[in-house]
Amino acid sequence: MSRGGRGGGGMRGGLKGATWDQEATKDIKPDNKPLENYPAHPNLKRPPPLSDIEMRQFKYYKTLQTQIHRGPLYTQATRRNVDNPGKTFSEDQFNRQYGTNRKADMDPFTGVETYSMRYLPKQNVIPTLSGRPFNKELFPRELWSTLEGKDGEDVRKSINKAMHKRARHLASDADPKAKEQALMDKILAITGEDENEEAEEEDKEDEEVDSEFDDDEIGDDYNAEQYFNNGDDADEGDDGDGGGGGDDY
Amino acid sequence: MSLSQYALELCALLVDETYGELSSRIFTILLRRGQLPVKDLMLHTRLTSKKLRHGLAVLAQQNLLYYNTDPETEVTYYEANKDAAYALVQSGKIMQVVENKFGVLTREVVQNLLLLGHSTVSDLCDAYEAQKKQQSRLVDLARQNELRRKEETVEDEQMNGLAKEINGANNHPPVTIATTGQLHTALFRLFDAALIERVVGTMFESPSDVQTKLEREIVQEGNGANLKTSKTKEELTKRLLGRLRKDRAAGSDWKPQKRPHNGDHRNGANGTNKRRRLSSGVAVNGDHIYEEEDDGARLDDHLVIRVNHEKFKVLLRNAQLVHLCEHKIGKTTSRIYDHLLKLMEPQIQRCQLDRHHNVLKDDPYIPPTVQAIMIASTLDKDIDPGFGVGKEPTHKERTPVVKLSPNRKRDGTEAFAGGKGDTKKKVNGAGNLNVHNSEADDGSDQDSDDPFTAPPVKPPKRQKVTFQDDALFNPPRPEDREDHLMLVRKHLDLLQSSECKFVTRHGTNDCYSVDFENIVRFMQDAELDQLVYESFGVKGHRLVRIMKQMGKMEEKSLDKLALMKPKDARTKLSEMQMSGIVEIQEVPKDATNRGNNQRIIFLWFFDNDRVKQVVLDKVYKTMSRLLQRLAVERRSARHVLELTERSDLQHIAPDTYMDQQQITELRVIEQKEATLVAQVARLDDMIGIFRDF
Repeated sequence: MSRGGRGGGGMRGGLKGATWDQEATKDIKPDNKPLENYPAHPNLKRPPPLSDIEMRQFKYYKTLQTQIHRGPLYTQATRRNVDNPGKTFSEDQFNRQYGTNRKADMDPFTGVETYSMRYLPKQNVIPTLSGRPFNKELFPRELWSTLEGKDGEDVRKSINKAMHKRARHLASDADPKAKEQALMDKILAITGEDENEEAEEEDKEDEEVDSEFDDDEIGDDYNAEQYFNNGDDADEGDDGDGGGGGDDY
Repeated sequence: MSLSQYALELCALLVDETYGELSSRIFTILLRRGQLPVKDLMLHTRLTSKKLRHGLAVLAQQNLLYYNTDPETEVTYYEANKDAAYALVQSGKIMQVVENKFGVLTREVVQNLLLLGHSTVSDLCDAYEAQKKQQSRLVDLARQNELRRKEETVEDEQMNGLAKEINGANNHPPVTIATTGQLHTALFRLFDAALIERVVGTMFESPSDVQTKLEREIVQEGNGANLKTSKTKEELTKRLLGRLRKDRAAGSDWKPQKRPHNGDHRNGANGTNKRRRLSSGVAVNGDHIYEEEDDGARLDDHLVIRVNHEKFKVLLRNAQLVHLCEHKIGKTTSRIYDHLLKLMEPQIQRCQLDRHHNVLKDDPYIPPTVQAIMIASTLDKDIDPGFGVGKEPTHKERTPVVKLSPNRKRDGTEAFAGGKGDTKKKVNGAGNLNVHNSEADDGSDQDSDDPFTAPPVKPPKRQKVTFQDDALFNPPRPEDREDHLMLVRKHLDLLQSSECKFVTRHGTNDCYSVDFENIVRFMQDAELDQLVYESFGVKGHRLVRIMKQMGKMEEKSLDKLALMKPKDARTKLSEMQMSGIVEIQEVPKDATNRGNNQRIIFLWFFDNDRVKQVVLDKVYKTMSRLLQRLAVERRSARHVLELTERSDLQHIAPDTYMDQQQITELRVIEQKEATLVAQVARLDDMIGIFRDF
């Protein structure tokens, strides 16, 4: 604040004894020099250019990285604001900078899919483990179901079941007998569901992360959302893609 | 071993850079919190169970995790494998070393292995084939595109020429797919050199877990024995060592058995065969010609393998030693040294020996040795040992070797004098490679200026090949061989008498060994000297050297010795204290009277180990900053980079679809990437010197 005042050509009444006929810009030179937050390095030398060997090493490194990045195990960044300082002071703060739900974090200006985005590389939010051979005995046992792609299958099953039930319920509104039958079904289902408590547990959690299950090839229940699902990949690009988006509107 | 904040940051960044955000988030929490089960991980990462499990699977696949399942509670605890994470930075070097050693095909195999983490042999072969097919498909596609474009733009001849040229430079030449047999042979070769290892379950057990388990065993057996007694301690180390050996025998030291029907080329008498193949592998470098043969050996398809980073560290250390030698003595000597190290390589599995070796007296460490005659007889034909030590004996005038010695001495001292001065220039952090090379060239120029030395005639490449064949058909005469041996021995003498003690002679039978610890210490000191000199100037360096030699010193005597004004000396000293290079210790003259400042002696000192730690930490910090910078630079150029990543443009040379400005931008960012990554690699050399070697 005070710095602004000192250098302030703009603060007209601020200087005592300054009259209107004095041109502020002529007499009072604003001190616009940057502060010396970053003094010159006392001993900075340019590193020597790369040797052939180093160039080759870089080339191989780069090729490998590109291969990995295009591969199924790489996951793209979900950070909400990439320009935020990387330094965080607590785990909470560290975790908060990452988006948890892509749909909630979608930028409405750039997030809508445009035609030119269809060639953009696919964004992995979760590594694709299907279609790759794993040596299961080298993984801890609790990850085996994940490797087989059976992870969350019971959750999916219970969702499907619930949907079916609801559909049946709605359909049978007209017929009281059928309604009764449905009620009986429901009771039976509840007693049956007690067996897999874990599924229920994950069901709750599922409410906030329902987008996760759309990524799987199997869970194709929400076909209507497919449109957005592909579109929000592009939350990274803002300027150029934003322009493209504008054209589309 | 707990790492510093910056080391952790670096590991997390490396994982992020390589495997993406999800893995890195999990890895960061594991690094910060230590061992955690999935439940706690979920709490700390705020990830959903599914994401977390997927992330963990990726980390386990890429060997970045230790895990341990408690047999009673069935809970699995995960721990971050920091060494593996750090090794990600070395992938470029690893591939370069492999290509130098074995050629392109083997490098590609290693690349695939790095890509897959660990994998069975058959999966690796499948992945290789799939990749090759994809490549050839793309090459075909590119060719078709080019043809089409040619037809379309016949009128614009110039542009077309340009595009063609660029395409030719960027696209791969026709892809050659190696057969499964060749792949297996390559894998065998890697196994032989211990560059890949069999993966066994115990490799995923964290070392600390193993120790606790063994401790518990001892306590149980001894019925509540005290762990702190020396007897149990000894027992513990013994068991640890035994366990380590067992694991290694099953894992990294395990070698596949070759089937008897293929002749074992690798043994003694038929050594020429191997050498020829190796040299051809090097010559082939860069070209896509596979001269790799299939010797019929097959590995078990279900064998799980991965890259053995420990052995690679040995190779990287050798490379640095050779580099130092070239810098200190000369090119020819360094190549002979290189050869010596190569001969020694199979006997060295890892850079740092087990800490427990010293404890067990009944198992003393015997350093590997190489006989001079071995070196001389297996030396590459294009290394002329007569070079660099003195007069080159020609066929016409065969001077007795004894007469050469004064000459050699002169040359040697010259080399040493040069070496001493050069120590200052040797800094790895700045990676002054070009300077080194030019200096080495200067050295050879000096040699050729020497009136006693015949000017070296370097035959062109073609001739060299025929020369090699000649040598094969006409075995050298015995006196030739003797000369050869003498000359090699001279180089070894040179190596031995150098201030770095590159080799040590062992016993009477011409055996040489390398005291790696000593040389590495020398390298560390040189590097520290260089660092202090660069950052605090001559005077700071002088002060540090005095302190190194004299130990703890008072300021008065320090500036007297350093011939500096007290004021200057004090400024320098406090400057160095601020950056953690020197330390101060207060010693009260009178222990009872504490309040009196007058009676305190201030002693300045330089603690080598501490400074090493400080330097290491700074290097970690710099590396992590460089990686962060890389991310920022990429982000600022993302419009161009995104273009190259588009799935329809991925495989086409960027020059064909970008406008001039975009191309310039792309070149700039590529240049920046190369500089930053190479700088990280140079710093990794330094980490090697201070930590790994």
